Amino acid sequence: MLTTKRFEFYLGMVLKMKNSVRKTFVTIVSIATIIMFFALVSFAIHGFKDKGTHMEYERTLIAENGKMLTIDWEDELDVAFEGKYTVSAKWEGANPSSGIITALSFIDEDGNVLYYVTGDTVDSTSELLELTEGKYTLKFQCFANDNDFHEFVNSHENSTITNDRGSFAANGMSSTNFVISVYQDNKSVISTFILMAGCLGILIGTLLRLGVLRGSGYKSEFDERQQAIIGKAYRAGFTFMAIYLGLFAFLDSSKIELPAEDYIVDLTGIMLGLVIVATITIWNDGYFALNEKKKTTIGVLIAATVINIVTGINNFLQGSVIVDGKLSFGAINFICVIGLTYILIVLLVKSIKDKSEEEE
Amino acid sequence: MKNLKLKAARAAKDMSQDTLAKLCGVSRQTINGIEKGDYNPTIKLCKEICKALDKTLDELFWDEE
Repeated sequence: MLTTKRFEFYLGMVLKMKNSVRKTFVTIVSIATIIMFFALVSFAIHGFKDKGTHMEYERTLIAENGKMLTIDWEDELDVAFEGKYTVSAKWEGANPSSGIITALSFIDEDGNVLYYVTGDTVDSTSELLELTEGKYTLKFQCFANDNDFHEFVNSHENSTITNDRGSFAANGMSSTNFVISVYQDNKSVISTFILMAGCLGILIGTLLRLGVLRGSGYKSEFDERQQAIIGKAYRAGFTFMAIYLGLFAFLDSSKIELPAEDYIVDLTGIMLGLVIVATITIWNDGYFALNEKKKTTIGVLIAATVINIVTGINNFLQGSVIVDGKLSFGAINFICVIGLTYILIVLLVKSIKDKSEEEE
Repeated sequence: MKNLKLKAARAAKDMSQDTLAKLCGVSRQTINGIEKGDYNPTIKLCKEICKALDKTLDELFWDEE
């Protein structure tokens, strides 16, 4: 817990810092705090605001002599925010099957069918649908014979089917609960979450680097050559990230689909930037401060790698690494593992190189 | 260009790169870089090195053509 005495101690440390260090410290902490504040506000607006609709319908479906007695029905849905949405449909027919097929069509104001699904039992989620503000129609149609079903499918597909399903019952009944959910995609929330986590990481990293969290007057010390190397490395990392993000923006505006979600592409850029900074500083002996305990730092890197491997495997088993053929939220840990492992390998190669040079 | 004068002065004092680095408050690699001519030190560091080796700036860093 941060007691008053400890707070005074930390405050004292900040005040005792050299002017240039204090300016850097205050600037980084201020920027990170401002970004975190806005991310939090954004999270509150986007994350907690209900941008979805959940609908349920209880219907008794009755077919007699191959004709549906139950009348088709439809409902209207208001979409208040433009964005990407998924439509989920779930219903369970009678067991044994009543021989009745229900179809759900999701239709826009111009009458275009954006998504449809059929079956006596259904558990399906659409791909991401780009919806604008406006009214949409949920249309339910029931079929008890092949002709009606063929007519429906042929009007929704560009192909023609004539094969009889052979499973329609002339007479049947099913009490069915239809559950439809239309929810906005939550990727903006995930991006905000990553942004917040990134800022928190920068904040903790800065505090650790400046020694505020280590107490007892610890302060990282780099000599003049190391400081010059660090500056050079940051410049290279920043230039790379600017080019990378520019390229990404170009690809995005050209509507070129990448096999990864946007936030994964962003995070990969950040990780590559960090890797460039780490490589340059390690290779030029600017990575470790003069008073830094190398073994402790390497231990922390190994621990972070192991934690990410374990979490990554868990994500893989839960199927969140690749979703709809794209690298998704669960892939973040694997990206971290690749970056951290690379940094550890560079550290190892550099230490072998140094040892061989010392022996010479 | 290699700084052999610095290397010689250090060897004369039977001092390792690491010891000199600690006396000057820099890393061993920085001293190594100066000796190999890979790094040009600031005047501040040059003075620190001179103090540690009891030499003058001219003796260690003046380039006589």
